[in-house]
Amino acid sequence: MTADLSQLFEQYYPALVRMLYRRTGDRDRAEDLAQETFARAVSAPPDNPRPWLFAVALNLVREDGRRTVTRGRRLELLRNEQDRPAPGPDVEVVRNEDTARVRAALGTLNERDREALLLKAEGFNYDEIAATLGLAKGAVGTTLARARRRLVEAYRAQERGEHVAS
Amino acid sequence: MSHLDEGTLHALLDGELEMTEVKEIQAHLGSCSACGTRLRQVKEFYAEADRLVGSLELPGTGAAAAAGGSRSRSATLEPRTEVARVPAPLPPTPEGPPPIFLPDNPDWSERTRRVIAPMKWAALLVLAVGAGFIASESRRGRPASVPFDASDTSAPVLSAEEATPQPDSGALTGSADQLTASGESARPAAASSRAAESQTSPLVPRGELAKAKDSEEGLLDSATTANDETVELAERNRPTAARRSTPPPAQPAPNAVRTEAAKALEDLDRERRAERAAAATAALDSARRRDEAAARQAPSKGATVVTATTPAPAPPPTTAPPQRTLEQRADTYMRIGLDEAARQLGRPVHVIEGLSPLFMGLAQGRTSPGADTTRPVVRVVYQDAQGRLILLDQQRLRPGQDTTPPAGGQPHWTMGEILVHLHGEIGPEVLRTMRARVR
Repeated sequence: MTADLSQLFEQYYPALVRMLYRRTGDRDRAEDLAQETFARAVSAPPDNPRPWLFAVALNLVREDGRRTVTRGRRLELLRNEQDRPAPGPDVEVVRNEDTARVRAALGTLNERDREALLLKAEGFNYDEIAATLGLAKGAVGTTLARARRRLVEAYRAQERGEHVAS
Repeated sequence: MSHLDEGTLHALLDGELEMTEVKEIQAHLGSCSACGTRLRQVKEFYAEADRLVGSLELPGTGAAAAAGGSRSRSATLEPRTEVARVPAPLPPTPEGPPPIFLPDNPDWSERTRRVIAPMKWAALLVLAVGAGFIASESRRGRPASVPFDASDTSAPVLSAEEATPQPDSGALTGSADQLTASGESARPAAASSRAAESQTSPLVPRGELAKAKDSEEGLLDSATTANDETVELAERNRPTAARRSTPPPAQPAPNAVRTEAAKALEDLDRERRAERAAAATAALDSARRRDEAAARQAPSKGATVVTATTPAPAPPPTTAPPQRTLEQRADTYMRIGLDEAARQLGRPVHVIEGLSPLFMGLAQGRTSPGADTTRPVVRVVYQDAQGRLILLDQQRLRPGQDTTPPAGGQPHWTMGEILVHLHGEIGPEVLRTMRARVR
């Protein structure tokens, strides 16, 4: 790994793993995908690293997702079970339930909306989001607006559903 | 301007719009209630969505941080654990979305109603007590009210001792001095400040006091030197002030108390209008203010028409300079919180040790020497003991960005991947000493 790449790794790896974790819900998978992303950066060093790295990572998620949807869900379930603390404070239980609701709500978004939202959460500006997702800059605001509204609506719908069920 | 679409409003909240666009939107929002309502909805979705995405922390990071426990992240995963790259989830209600300095639309009456509702009860209470008191006084044979002629300046002013046991209508509506002396308690805080002013002019009718208060608050100033909405606002206020300048007739006590309560509410309304006027002009730069002031000194035809339609023309705009808000002085277009600042910078914001910031905001890149002009800078605003502003600008560096210090001798350096620039209304020597305290 060159010095430049080492610097890139230092600078972007945590953010990449975090974004991938939010996207996949599986920490191990997120780390694997992040490392695979950097492996590709070694073979083709990018000019504009941040959008490039995140774009490659999101592509890997899509490819990987198509192959291992079932496996990924199992892993996620397993991990959720492992992460769930043994009977602990109520607040922790509520937090886990809330996280599951958020993740489910995120899952209702289409690919582009979800990715725009995750990139924005990593501090990307509209230019960078446009470059990463191949959008026109003028469309980023609309994409984010739709993504945020749908996420919140899906989350609230789940909350209402659970309250009704309970 | 057509209605604002959701995408534009989100771009506004994300700080992605140019200053000219922001101004246009501000002007539109000041006059379009539909877009104002939409902005409120958008802000709600914006904050909630951020909170939801932010709540998806890596296992062992967010919860540990929230609980204050030790972090279990490996060094490989988080090489710089002191850097909180992901903003903490926003609390659902206490903090809410970052405040945006945009004018409220005319649908502000809902907020006013929230204030008026409790005031109505207070007014009713005062009314009941006053009526009971007057009834008991009448039974004792004392006059129920003392007619007051505000035009008669030779009328003696009641002393505090005389006025205290007689909270009747004449005293209440006649002079602010008497009003204050009568111990009337249902008036809002605005009344207390007027009481202090009235010490210098005890016999001035309240209408005059109200006008003086208006001009001192800078309401008319800001209205006549800001933008069109605020001009209209001032025009709406003028007849009110003029109406109050006529001496009130002596009224039965319950009416007087009711009038007084209504007056208190008007004071509240006026303060809120002044706040909205200040907010509406928050992003207007000083150049435009100067231009408009010059234009008003040489009145145009349109301005003449507006004046001619005013039933009781207010005094010409005072010569006092328009009061600039802190946001205007700091040249920020949007206030932001710690979370948004961290999101913009990709790391926690730098601060000056030992100083308490007034607020943080986003400013156009071109207002910060040496910064990338295509992106906003995070500006932390401080004020020294003399009231001078100190601005700590920060911008995330992009690969290849020029970090050469600009001319001017103000401290300009990088901290990690953040470009930092210290400037403000104090000299570069003091700024240089302050640089050592930036953490």
